[in-house]
Amino acid sequence: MNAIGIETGWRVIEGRPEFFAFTKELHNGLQGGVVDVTEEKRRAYEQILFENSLRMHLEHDVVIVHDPQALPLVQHYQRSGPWFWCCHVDLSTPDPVVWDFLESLIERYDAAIFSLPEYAQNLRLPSALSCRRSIILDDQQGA
Amino acid sequence: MSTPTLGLHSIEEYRPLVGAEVVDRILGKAAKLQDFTIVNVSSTQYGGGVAEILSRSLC
Repeated sequence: MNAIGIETGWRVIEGRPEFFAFTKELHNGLQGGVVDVTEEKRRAYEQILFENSLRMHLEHDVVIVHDPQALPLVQHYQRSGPWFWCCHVDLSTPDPVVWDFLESLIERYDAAIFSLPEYAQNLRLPSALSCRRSIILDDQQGA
Repeated sequence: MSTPTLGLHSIEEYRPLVGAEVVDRILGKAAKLQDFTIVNVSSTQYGGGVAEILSRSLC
């Protein structure tokens, strides 16, 4: 991307092992696993993302957040452009508790990108895109 | 012997794999987005599919 003139960066969030243990649970829950999402774990997860937002300056034309680990970041920025959530997991049968928790976070994004159309659920987003209809790479869109 | 790197690849390395037409089409589209700024956020720099995708697409 950078070599062809599109200035592209990559930021990695930080967290303690228990944070990543919980995001792994969320990941499994999105793919249909039964997980234990307690209020305490949810609060800790959101707090870690808030702390990440304090030291991560995202003033780019487009922000792309990958997978559920960093989903809550979107709540903590004045957006200078669209925010996309890029989902790399199978969302066809998510655990209902995990989905209830994450759905409202996903819907704060301007668009979500999925590997297959059937993973898109019934999200209320301006745009839910599958990789086959990517806004940049698909000739059919005339981009 | 291959040179150890962070796994970054130039788009030109894909030319023999996917063909000149595909690479030239991508370059043509990129020309419309010069100086556009994008940032990706993920949870790990090594290991996992997302890190694989990003390390290869950022070059």
